[in-house]
Amino acid sequence: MKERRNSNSNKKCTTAAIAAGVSTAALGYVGYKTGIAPDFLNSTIEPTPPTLPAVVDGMVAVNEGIRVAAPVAAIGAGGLAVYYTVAGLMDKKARALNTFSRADYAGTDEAMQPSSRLSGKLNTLKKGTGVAALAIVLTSATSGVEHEVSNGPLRPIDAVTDLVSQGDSDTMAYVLQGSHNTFMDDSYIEKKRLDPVVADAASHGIPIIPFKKELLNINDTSAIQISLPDALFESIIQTPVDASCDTIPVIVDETVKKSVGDTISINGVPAQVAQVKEGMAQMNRSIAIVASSDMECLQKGTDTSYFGAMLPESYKDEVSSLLAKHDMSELAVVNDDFFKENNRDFWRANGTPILLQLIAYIAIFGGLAAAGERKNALQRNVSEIGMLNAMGIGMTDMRKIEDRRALRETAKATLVAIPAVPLVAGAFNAAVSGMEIGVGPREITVGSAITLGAKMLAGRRAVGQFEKKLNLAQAVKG
Amino acid sequence: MTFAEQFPVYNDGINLEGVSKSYNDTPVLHHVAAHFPRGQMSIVAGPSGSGKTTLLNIAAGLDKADTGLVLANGFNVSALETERERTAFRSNNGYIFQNHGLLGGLSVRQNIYLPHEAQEHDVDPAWVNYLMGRLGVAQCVDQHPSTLSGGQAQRVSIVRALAHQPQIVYADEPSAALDSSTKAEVYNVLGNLTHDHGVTTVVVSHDDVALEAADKVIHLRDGIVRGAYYNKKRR
Repeated sequence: MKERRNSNSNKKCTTAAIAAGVSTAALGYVGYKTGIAPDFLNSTIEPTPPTLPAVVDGMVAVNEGIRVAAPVAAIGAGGLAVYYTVAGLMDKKARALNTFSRADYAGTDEAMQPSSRLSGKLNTLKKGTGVAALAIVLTSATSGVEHEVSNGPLRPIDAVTDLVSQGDSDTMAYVLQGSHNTFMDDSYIEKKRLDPVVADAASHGIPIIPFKKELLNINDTSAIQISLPDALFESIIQTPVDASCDTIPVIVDETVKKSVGDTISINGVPAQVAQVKEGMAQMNRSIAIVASSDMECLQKGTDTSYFGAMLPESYKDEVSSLLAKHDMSELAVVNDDFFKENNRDFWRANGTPILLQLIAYIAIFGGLAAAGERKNALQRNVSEIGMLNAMGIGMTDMRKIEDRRALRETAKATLVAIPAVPLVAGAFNAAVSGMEIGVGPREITVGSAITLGAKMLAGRRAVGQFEKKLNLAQAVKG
Repeated sequence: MTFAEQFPVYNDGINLEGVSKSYNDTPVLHHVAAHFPRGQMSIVAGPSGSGKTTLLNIAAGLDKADTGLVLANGFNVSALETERERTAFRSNNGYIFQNHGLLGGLSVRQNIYLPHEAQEHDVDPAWVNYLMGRLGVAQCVDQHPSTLSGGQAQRVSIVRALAHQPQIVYADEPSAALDSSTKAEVYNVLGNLTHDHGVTTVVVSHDDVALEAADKVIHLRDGIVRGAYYNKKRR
């Protein structure tokens, strides 16, 4: 009967989370179709200039804040655990509270014969530690996923600029059609208008690198294709480029899983892998680089515009002057930080709402599960706790017992979760090309800190509810 | 005038004045007045449903009377409002109930000592060993409650209640699960503690063995005290 109560509680939590997810998805679909839903419920990616709802911005800030605070909280929790242990060695009251927290009250009507005591321990482990371990795995993975979704898109930008700068430490600036254009949407600068600016800049010793961007298929997988000026491309791959379209050398990311010399298909056009680079991929998008003349082979001459141009940031003002001189002052020249911030905001605006829902469901599940599990544990043992209360152990001490239990179970759950978190992150990374979810101590401390907080709050809340409903005379009667 | 001066029997056992209690508009106790002397074992006897357990719970501070005054061991039990006051009162008492309430996850030794350690009571191991020997549970000290019989578990709970040599002992049918010889031993132990250490002992029971061992008997019927007498054999 009592086992069924806790099992029912977990079923209710799972049902609540699934129901919340289904109803939110349904709301989002209806809202999207009728156009009346708030933006953050709409999980379709739309390449518009990024405008972040305040709640998304707040959610990202909270995650980043937790990622900073969590290691500190973990150290604090570790210190608290050491304090409780040392106090238990020196003070009999502390020792008693520590021991009570290990026993979880367990009345004798959950009678265990010695031979089945192991199964009893396993049951207890499943209830208190198992739920917590699951919460830690999910929360850690979610924190890592959100961080990757928000910051992963900056990785290929850095990889390309590193490639272009060829070791030069100067940061980049970008000439774009508009100041808020991101890598995921469009920017058009007519080739015939920018080429004279490039020539003028070159004559003044200003290195400005125009590039095109296309969304093409590499072996039937979407990829962002970038073109660089032929001379620059040749200096990178150390091989001359011909304009025959017969052999197109291409630099690809390692996620394409090809080696140098392999032939790939770019929109049906054969290309040969000239170099394989790391870091030129984000979630679901890798970047490939070809020479400018070969880009025309891939585009089949249909487009005569550049996406933009890269230049060392130290030449930003001079290039702005050149643009004005060539009557192109409507173009934007933005520095690297500003460009990356816009790109980050684009993904946050589109990807984070999905994660917002995921995080909310996990919080609902974890919070309800922790609260339900503690409430059931106290209710299962009303008689035993009532007896302790009658003997003079008050609810203040009960809260201290619950704090110790939360700490102990979270520590155990963290040990269980440590091997599981990389597996979950690895599954994400394997399922989504280009994804690199971090699985380090930071993510695990995020999961542990949130789970510890939820368990402590749940334990204290359960004691408070228990205290309000406790009829001591009935409780000790049994 | 101090509280003790105003109520000169304040520190002399337990006093109930005009105590009434109803549950769901059903009266259970009617203006009960009773005195449980210090250093004596008092038995509250009466038929089933007479309000004995309710009276005990109110005297023990486990339930609140609707009206009336309860004074015990330097406390106005009827006016305990905060948790601090309640735990301060209860920690000097021993409680023995029909449901032994031992924690299954702890050994017998831990069940006896831990509640007292949590309240920073000084428990004399020699006294505990003496009690366990007298009540025949000394060999169970390292066992878990699930391996004990009902009688053994009840005896362990008695040891737990008396381990810190409380000033007041409240017992509700403490011998219900015990055989005759063990019952006699339980009341012997309670009697020794009561008389040798000046403990106020209140027992709810209709057991002949209890009545035989009592110093004072209070009869309750339909929530009213019908009579109180001292056991001449004990005097």
